[in-house]
Amino acid sequence: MILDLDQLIEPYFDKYPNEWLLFEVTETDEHDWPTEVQFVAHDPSREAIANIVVEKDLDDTLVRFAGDVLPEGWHAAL
Amino acid sequence: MFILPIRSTRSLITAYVRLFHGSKRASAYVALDTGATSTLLTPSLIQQLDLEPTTAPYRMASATDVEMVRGYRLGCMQLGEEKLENIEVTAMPLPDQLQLDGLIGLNFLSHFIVTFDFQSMQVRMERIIA
Repeated sequence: MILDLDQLIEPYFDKYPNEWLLFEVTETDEHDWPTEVQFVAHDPSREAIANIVVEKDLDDTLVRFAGDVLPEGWHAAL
Repeated sequence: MFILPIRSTRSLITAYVRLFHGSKRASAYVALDTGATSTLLTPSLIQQLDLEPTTAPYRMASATDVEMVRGYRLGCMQLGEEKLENIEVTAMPLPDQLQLDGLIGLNFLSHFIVTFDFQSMQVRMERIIA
């Protein structure tokens, strides 16, 4: 089981920094975690990525932002 | 039991989750949030999973505001090897600067013994067997 799915998509972090990345999951393991993915799209807008998923009718996806989840120097109180 | 890495004490504790609903599956990057009673998913992720609201609008208090939100019944959510079925999630946008797809709240975390170990930089999660 790959708990850190970043291993699967790491090359795309440098290719499309600070954009949302969309992958289609093509293989999973016995615990249903992705083991192989195919790159589909990149976009600065999360909403645009969701629209692509719907348009292409993708059944199994992996979406991740290629950058820090919180900008450097920022703090969060959720 | 499964273990999640804590990447930094200066950022949020994040993890991938797997979400299942009908024929739709999604892997999403989220934060663990013991301050949230509900599990929140962004409207974009709700749209991807083709979820329909299952509750009337209700109030959700966040750190700075109160919003009217809707609840959605999700088929299954998985963290590590553990799956929880038929879990209620709330659709709520997160601030633009927070590049995540949701927050895992107490309605999910309360099914586990959760240990935040900042010495070994790990979150250890063990399913509570009822």
